[in-house]
Amino acid sequence: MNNFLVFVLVLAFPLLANASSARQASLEELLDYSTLIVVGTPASRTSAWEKTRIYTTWDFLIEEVWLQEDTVDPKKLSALASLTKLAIKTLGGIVGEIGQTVAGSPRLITGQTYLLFLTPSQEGSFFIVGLSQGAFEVNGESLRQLSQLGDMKIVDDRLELPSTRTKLRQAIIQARRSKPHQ
Amino acid sequence: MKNHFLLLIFSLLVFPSPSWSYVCSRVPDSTGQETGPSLSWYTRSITFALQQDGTTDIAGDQELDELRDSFAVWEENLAANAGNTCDPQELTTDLVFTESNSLSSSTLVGYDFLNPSKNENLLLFQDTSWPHAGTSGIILALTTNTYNALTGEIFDSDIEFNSSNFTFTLSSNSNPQTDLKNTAVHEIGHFIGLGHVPIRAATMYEQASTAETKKRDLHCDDAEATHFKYPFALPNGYCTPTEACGFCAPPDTISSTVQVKISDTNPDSTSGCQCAAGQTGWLGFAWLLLLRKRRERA
Repeated sequence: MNNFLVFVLVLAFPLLANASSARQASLEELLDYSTLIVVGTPASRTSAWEKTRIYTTWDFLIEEVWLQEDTVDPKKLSALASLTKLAIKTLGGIVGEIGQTVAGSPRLITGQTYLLFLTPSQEGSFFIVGLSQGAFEVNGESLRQLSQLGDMKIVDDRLELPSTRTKLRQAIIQARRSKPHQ
Repeated sequence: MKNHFLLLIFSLLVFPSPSWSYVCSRVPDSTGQETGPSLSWYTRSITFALQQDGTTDIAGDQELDELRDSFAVWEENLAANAGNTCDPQELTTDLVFTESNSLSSSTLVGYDFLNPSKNENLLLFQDTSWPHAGTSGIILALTTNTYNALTGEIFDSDIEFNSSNFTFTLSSNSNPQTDLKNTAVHEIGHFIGLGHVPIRAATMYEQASTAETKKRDLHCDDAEATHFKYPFALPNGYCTPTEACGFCAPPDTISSTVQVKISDTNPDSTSGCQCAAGQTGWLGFAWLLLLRKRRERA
């Protein structure tokens, strides 16, 4: 592992603090589980029952795409690379007067920019890897893993990491390059 | 390698966990922020069901006894369950968890609101496959709470253990892998409406390291949370939402009749249905029946 990636991982670890009863996933694991990594903004959402579960589907507008090329069907590569929006599904939501919540499931907010590690679902939409562990809030040049602390956000200037977004982006590219193709 | 180690030490010193009090899970608003009423049971006697298959990770039915013991941690003298080191020392609740009369053959997770009698507060091991894409080697267990979005009243809660990707072991095991009680006690905290806290020593801290056992009992923060939410012989605890009381917000005032509209989004599908506020009539009546049955069950 190169020094730069180690540096980014060390910086990122204090932010990796959100999931249900969960093991803390490293950045490398998030990369291993993901097919697609995107930066963008959820524009709208709809929640619906699927059998006994409520899922929320987010209409996600994409600003940047990174592909885990070795995990994608080559025929779909160009289509995915040029995506401008996609559907992202999260566990839980409210339908009518019934709500369902899954502890650790990321609660996205419309209009907020995120970096998301994604894995495809069977119906063409995507799930976020590791529930909230694969979701990072992007604020300018800072990046923070999603909090599951209710409506409280850990606001601590010491956690603001200038240019983290750029560094993480570079780390992802580095990790992808160093990953042996199958 | 030495430099990497120093970097890690530096990050731990510079970014310590903030001290924090407990957190109540709450109903999210239309933007996704948790600003609504806190999720709470409206009964102090909650029935749970254990799925009959258990897990092959553990011999016999010992895993079921471990789950029963895990519920007991959240009952009665909470301060004692937190090691009698809490201030105040009197932290009690009258929450009682009662097991259903028999083991369950159901694997229903979530809520079947068209067949409410089928619902149980089920604990089950997912031995053969973990159904949540992208989480298989990361998430040890998941709790799904179904609630009334107007009041925050929890009416169903289910816990799934990811035994297809993690090997669960008993608290008596001197070489624990994924400690079942450590995981179960945390998930039962969600079951009663508690959210995650960033106190690393707390049971409701969100992450678990391999072979961790510190969540087998409560931290004072967890005991305080339960004492506040479900105080002995007193109504559920609510407050003007502030950090100091875990944002345990009261129910919204209901000024209109609950209305439910059901429409099949895909007429050819047998799996989907959608409901939304707006239409009265027989479906509203069905909803009231559902509420009554649910209360009878509780």
